[in-house]
Amino acid sequence: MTSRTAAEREVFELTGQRTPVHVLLRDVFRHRDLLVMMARHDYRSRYRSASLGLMWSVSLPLLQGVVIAIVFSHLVGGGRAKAYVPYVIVGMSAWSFLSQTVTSASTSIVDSGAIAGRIYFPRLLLPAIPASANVPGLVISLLIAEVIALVTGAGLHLTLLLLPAVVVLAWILVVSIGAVMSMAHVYSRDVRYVIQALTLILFYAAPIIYGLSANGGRRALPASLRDYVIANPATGVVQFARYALTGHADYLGRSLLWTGGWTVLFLLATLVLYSRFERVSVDRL
Amino acid sequence: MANSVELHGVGKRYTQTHQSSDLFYKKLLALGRRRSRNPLWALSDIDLEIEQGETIGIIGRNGSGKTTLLRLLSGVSAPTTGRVRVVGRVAPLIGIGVGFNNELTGRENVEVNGRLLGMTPAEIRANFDAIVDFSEIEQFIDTPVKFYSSGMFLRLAFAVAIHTTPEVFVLDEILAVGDLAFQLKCMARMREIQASGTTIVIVTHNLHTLDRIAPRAVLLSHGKLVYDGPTEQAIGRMHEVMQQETRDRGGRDDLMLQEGNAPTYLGGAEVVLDLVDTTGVRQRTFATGDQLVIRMDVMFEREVTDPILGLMVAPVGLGSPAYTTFTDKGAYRGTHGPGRPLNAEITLNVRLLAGGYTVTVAAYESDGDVMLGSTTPESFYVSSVGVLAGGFVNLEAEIAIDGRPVTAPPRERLAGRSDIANSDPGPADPTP
Repeated sequence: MTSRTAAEREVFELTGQRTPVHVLLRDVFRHRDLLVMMARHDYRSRYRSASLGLMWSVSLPLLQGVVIAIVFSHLVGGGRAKAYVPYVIVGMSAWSFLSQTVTSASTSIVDSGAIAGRIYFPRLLLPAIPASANVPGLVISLLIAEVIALVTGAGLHLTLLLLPAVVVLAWILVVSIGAVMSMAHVYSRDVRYVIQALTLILFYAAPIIYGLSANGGRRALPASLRDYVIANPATGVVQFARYALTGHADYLGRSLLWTGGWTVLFLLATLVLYSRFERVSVDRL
Repeated sequence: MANSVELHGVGKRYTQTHQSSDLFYKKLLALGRRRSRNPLWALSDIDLEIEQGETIGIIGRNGSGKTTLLRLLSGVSAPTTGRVRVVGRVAPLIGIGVGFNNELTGRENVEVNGRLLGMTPAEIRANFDAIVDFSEIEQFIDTPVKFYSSGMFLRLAFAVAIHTTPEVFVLDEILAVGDLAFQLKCMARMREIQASGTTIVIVTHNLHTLDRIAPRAVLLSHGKLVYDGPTEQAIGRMHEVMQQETRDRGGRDDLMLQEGNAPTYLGGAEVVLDLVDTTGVRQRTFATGDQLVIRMDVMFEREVTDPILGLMVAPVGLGSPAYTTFTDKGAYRGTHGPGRPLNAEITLNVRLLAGGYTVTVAAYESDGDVMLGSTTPESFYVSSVGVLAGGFVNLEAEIAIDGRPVTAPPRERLAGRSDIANSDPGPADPTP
């Protein structure tokens, strides 16, 4: 056994008071390798028994995008523009990452109650695990969307280099929302259903199947509703992904500002909630 | 030595909410009113200091706050009042294999679980072979654990847990799973950990293994620390507390056994007993080789002639008695009735080995077929420190190899032990 001197020893002190924010962040930082490891294992274990593996998580939003593109462009009427298919697919890829991840992140603390109730590790890792495990799926589906865009004649843009920034933004957004929701879910099991309802509403309140302005044969949103759609936290990510892949997105600046604002708000809420409840929430698991 | 764990004025309150109030409309209705929450203090006013390298047991009945204390020590939960301070890394072994994912291979689970239990990635790599070796599942280490037998699963989970090298080890129940060989291996490894200066906190129901491992124990009752001292004494106190609670409830103890084919019980007498040592001091802990005296009082409600007395001693948790006896028919001549009680003293040679036992005494009509009354099973605890034996009864084996005795006469080895078991709470002094 290794012997450690007193100076090397970590000491933990627990009182009824809240966890200071710097301790909270230091703990997360110290356990960053655990996050990587658990995300990797989460990712592997999810697809291990499925023969198509990761392809499922990539192909489902693609398929959804294709179906929607066909239905809306041919059956409902309107534009028959080739640009509509990649437009919807890019939007769907970004959206399905956001919605799936927030859904699984928001139940993450309760779902891992068996471990969380017995072993301490920073609870903030839990919502970050599905967010990180879903990143490869997001990257691959965005790349496939890019290929489809190229095939349909969108042309290659240098903005593609922004793709990592898109992924980082999406990740931070879902981690902060997931963190708040997962802690709230410990205290009220209604949260899961609220999330389901919200993702349904926010899907239609995001520029995924329609455009913020008429362009390339797409149907555009009435101007009176536009401000609400831009305020949707998902809009910034969807538009940013679009900008990176196709070199153009309407109202990019404003939607990014909104998404950034939401992210900061949720991150602050996360710090407040976790410093207050991290060490007592287990009593409710 | 420096303290490894310190608890000062620690209390933990849980708020119980009523089941129905989880419904939304009930919550709305309750908004106006004072909330009908029910605070429950799972622990209160706990002061405890544990030195680096000590092994200490935490005992108490179900619901006495043991698990809550473990959760505080392992940092999972924070106290409502007071302060918990733990120096060094804690590895909680609470629920073996909880962090295991069925879809992952043994190797992957070892990685995650080791990390969760506080090992660094480098330590996991360094200990990986030892862990696999210990678990005896080399050829399946890259198979998903869902294909493991339950024995393999437990062995691997154990192997990981027991190879963590924390400063403080927090255990729920003593580590022993699998077949005998594997259990012995677990115990050997435990001793290694103990010898290396790791502080060990054990919560257990397995009292008779505890006093072989932990010299010190604390007894919790209703969230309060009621005893802190030598393990044997703590266990004795626990039996007293259990007995008192049983009496307070007016029922039989849930840990105790019911007699098997008892004679017809018609009533007619109340029987009480007291357990004392040879000096007449009330006692719940006896050492193997001690004498145990049962003082028995029978109060009769009607006239009875030539009653018969019976006695049963049974190990706690086992379905059959270890010893029963009766007075001979007609050996005692006497007439009793209201106002004419019977007093008896029964002296037993405690040839039992470490563990919890119950004693029941009863009074019968002269033919022995009708029971007048009996006590509830009263429990006592036997410690066998220094006795190289296991099981229930000390048969005092004397082994000679090639005519040369290789066991010391058992009586000699026992000498002096009763002084320790019967002394007042305080450090046991081995010098006579």
